Amino acid sequence: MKKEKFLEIFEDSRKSAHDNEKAEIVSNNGTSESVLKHLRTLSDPVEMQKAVTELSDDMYETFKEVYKVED
Amino acid sequence: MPQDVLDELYNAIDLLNKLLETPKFKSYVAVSEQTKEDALSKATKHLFLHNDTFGIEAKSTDVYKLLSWYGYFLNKRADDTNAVVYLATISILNKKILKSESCGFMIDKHTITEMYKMLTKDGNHDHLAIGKNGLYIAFKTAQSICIQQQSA
Repeated sequence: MKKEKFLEIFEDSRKSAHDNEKAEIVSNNGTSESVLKHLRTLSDPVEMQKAVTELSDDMYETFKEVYKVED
Repeated sequence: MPQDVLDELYNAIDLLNKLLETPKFKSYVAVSEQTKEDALSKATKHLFLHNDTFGIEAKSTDVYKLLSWYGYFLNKRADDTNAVVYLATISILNKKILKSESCGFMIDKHTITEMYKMLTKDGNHDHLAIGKNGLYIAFKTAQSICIQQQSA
């Protein structure tokens, strides 16, 4: 998915959300700074590829265990 | 919402999409561009409905919410018999998002496997399932414990 499409869909949903003026405002800080900092590194294609490789290897271990898949 | 927060949220979604295209998994799951867009639309609408319903006004969008709900709706719309989308979602939430919190801890392997199995029951054995909101709040609770440990 292209980033432009992501932004378009996100904004469309935000615009169509209802405004609930009666709602109590609850404190919520959203995504933490340390997580944002880490996610920012994934803008580098090399870092993104490293993350994909690392996670897919790890996922496959769980997948094999659950579905009894043999290499 | 600042543009830079949306950039990071996009990276989290992009990582999930890329994981599904890896050689190990692409034979198990088929996700079209239209499916991704539909899932993102459902996830973001649910996110704003959630915040509106519960009166939540956040400084920025919570990546735990967006990723949990995008993964959930993507599984529902994709050809994903083995629930690879759920596995990718919880792997990112655990090993990329939760691990990047200041305390740096992760949920253990056995609990992650149990969570994955509970997710696969959604839609066919709902009484055994965790569902989209359960997935989000499980990781949000882990984050909350992490933050409290840091400040103790």
